[in-house]
Amino acid sequence: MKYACTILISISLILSFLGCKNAPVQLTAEPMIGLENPSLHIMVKESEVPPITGSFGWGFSLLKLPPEFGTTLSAVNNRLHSAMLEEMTVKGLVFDESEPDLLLSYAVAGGGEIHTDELTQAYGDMIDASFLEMESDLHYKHGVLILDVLDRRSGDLLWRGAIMADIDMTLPDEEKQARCNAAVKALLQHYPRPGTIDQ
Amino acid sequence: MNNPTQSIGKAIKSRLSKIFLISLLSCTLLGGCGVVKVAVVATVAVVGFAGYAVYKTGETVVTGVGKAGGAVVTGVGAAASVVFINGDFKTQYPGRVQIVWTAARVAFEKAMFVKINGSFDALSGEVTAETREGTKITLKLKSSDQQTTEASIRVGVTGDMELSETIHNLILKELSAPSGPPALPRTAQEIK
Repeated sequence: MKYACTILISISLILSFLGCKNAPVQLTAEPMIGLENPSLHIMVKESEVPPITGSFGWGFSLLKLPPEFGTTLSAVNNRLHSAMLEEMTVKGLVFDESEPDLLLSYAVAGGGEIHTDELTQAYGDMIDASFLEMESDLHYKHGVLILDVLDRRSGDLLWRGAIMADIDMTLPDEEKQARCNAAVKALLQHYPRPGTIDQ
Repeated sequence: MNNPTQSIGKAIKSRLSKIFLISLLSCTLLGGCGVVKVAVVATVAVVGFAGYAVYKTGETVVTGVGKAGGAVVTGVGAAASVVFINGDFKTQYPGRVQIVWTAARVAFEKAMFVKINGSFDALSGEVTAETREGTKITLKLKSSDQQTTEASIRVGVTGDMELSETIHNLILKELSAPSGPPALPRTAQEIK
């Protein structure tokens, strides 16, 4: 009996560790260059696993940057495109501007806020946002970057990730690309589902 | 000889141990780290999106308190929202269509664009022009309310964010000139 108990306890402990390895993990926001107090918000469509094969292209870019941000909108756009391109390519998706399977949109506000109505308005006729019925009136606070992944054909929003943080406006230009890369990586490491990817 | 009461006690103890171990094994096999899963998924009900699982961390997450103020400019130079989609650079300017139309027209002339044309009324307007290299520029205006005009800038056939932003800044510069926005023409025909 003693041996049986010992064996069972050992098996339980081993399986517990194995179980933990594959289980979803709590979201974490690691310290990032030029960003203070980061927090994450990930929204995933439950009925459809966002794909990690096929192609992707750009949806919209929504930018709300105050003049003191000290950079042009197109420079920010280019930095974010570069970061998103790298992360999505690493996941196995191929960039295709003409007829992509997925559309990748983003919204960024430096030190400001973005309301979900603004995102819906930006999509215009691209998607029917009525399926996104919300019980509360939401807006994303602080400096925020929001990434959306949509199925281009159906117009369904499959995944939305937002990172909110206090932005260091004094960051030198040469480090801004690194900040973009870090923020995009922090979000897309939770694509297609939080905790279901290799860390 | 064993006491019968002790034997029963041992038997119960042994069965309880087995039940505990089997339960532990079952939980492990079926749920893995079930506690962690519950902790993450529990946030779904907080936000209440239909058909979406929501995961969050940190304190500065979304809140349900009020609106963010929309996408409307509150003054020249403020952080207006700009949307670049399908080659169109969409933004808003403070002032009525006539004011923005005139500022754009003046900005185009100062930039020495050629073939400048356009018209406006109280509700909408359009200005078209070409760069020296023949790239077409189209500015479309639409009245949002008495203080705001929605604008769409397109450069070339497929759109160009960088050039659109340059044109946007030229228009903003005219609108924020110390002498005020350019004087309004009495009619759209007057400036043709």
